[in-house]
Amino acid sequence: MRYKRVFFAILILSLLYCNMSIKSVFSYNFGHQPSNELVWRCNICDTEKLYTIFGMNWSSSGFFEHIDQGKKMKWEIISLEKEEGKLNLTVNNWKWQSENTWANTTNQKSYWYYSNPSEYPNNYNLSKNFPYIKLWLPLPMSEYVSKLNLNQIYNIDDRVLFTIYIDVESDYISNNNPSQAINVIAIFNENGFLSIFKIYLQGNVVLLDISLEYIPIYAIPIVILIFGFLIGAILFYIFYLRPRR
Amino acid sequence: MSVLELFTETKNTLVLFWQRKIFRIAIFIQIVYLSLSIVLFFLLLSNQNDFIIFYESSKLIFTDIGSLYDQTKYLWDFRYFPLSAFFFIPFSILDFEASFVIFNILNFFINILIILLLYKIIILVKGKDHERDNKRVILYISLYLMAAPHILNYIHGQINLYVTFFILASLLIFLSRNSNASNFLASLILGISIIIKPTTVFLVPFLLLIRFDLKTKKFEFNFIKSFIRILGLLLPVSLNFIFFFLYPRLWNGFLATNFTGSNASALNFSFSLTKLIINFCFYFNLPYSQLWVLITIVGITGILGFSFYVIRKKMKHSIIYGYTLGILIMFLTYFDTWDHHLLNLIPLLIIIIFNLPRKEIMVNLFKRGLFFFNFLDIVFIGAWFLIYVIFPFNFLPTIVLAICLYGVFRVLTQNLEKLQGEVTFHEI
Repeated sequence: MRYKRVFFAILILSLLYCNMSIKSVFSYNFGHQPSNELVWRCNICDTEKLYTIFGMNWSSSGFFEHIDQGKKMKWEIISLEKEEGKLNLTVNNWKWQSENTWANTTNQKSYWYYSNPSEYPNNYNLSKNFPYIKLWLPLPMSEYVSKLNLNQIYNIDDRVLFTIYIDVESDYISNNNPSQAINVIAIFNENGFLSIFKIYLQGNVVLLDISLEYIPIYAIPIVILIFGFLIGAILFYIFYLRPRR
Repeated sequence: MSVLELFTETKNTLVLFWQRKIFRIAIFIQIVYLSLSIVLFFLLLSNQNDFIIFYESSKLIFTDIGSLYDQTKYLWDFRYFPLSAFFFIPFSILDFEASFVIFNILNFFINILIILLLYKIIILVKGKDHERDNKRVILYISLYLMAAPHILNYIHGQINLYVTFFILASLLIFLSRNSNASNFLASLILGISIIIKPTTVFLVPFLLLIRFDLKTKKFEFNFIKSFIRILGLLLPVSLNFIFFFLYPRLWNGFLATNFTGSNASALNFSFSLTKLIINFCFYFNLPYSQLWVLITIVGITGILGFSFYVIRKKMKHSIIYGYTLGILIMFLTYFDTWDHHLLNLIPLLIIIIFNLPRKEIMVNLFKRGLFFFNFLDIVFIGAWFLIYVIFPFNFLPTIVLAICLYGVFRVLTQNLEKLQGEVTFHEI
């Protein structure tokens, strides 16, 4: 009898869920607070090949300005504003540099998105210039990007990590630029900021690798715990469970 | 057996299960999983589940079948055989929310069918030295129902349970009957499972009735039955090729999505050996070809697995181990092996635990594997999200899969004939 009641309660609940039209109205948001700092590091930069593929001026302006292996770029978030139908992120921007100390900067930049993603046109590119991404996305990313009608060069995979693949055919940017087809992989973290960025040649040869300098405080203890579990299981097997003939 | 007899037998079996407290708890847990998936679907995940892909694919069948593998039409890639889309046509008639709920309720009932099949198989193959009563069998069946991978299977709206159902149905027929017609039927059912999801594709070589006796250096090969089995399996699978022939775009799309597309290189918690290698190359910026990694790993584990199967000692119910090898090879080699896929493997591990003599030392190994996959594996997926920035390798489940593979190799090369009884020819 008791079970019958529980069963019917669950059944009624399920039916209720079906009837309820719970349509979440997303209010897109920022994943960081003002004064947060973000530092990206360039781990690999195959300058020679990049020159060959994108031409001599590829790192003279824009996102890649002065980029090289080992250099770092920093954002300090100044303000996060929702106004006039826009999500506006303003940052102090330190371009790619070798020093670990960050002098005062006057290079302030704003990056914005429409609060309503359907305001963007069809075949939209996230950015006008190569690599056709911005360094941040509004949250929830999957919801926001799914509402965009992106250009066919984009392929989104948000099954596990939010990942944007961009397939750039040769001559896509301009004549002989790039001189051969390349692929871009951009992985965003749970806060909506670019955490891993790679440019690949065919055959998964890495030309450029950038990553966010961020190790969560809990990551190292958890890795140690996992290895501890493995070693513990092996020792337990050897000393207690191993069959002795 | 008439329908009425079948119904009575099913009812009696379920009544027998229901008398055990552990089974009632397991059913309660299943209902919690199901309810949780429905709540999460309506609150958070209505745009973020695998069922969307199946639902959309079935709609494309009517509107634009040539674009079945045009991935811009989906949230995530559609990577199954074209005929699998037909399977979801009944759901596409309903609106999306209703079809998700009905699909998951059906998943629950498929689970009931699975445990009935599992019970029948265990009773059929249970070793002589196991308990005569069925308490332990019901305990393990309940453990299957409690398995944590069910949560993700329900939440994603995945189709693994249908595959498991067809695997067990074909296995039951193989084990209980030996006529040519039943061999054909069992293979046909397995072929349907491949259509739904190609997880079972590596089971194909293990349908061959072939054995090489290392002592006598003699081959035993039942050509006719092997041929019937392969024919039965290929029949439903080959129907897909009609679509590939009519729409050549589909063939290219199918190949690109499954073997060379960008999804294969995505950083994720898949615990296949292939994925661990690809994650390693991705993390350390080493050039790689995902197709060659796949071919190499399939080649090594596949040849190893099939060789052990061919040189096995005479044993009863060898097909159980063939099925398990096929699934283990698939899980170790294909790019995406996720927690919910384990629902294909867990029932086979349970069958092995009951098939092996109780004093066989490998039983403990399979038991530990079962408990790991049932309850612990999901923890390591959670852990992966916390550590992927510095360590993107979900390697512990891979080790457990490899240990299970080793366990099957050991069983196949042991002399179990004395413990199992004399082996008839068709059971070689």
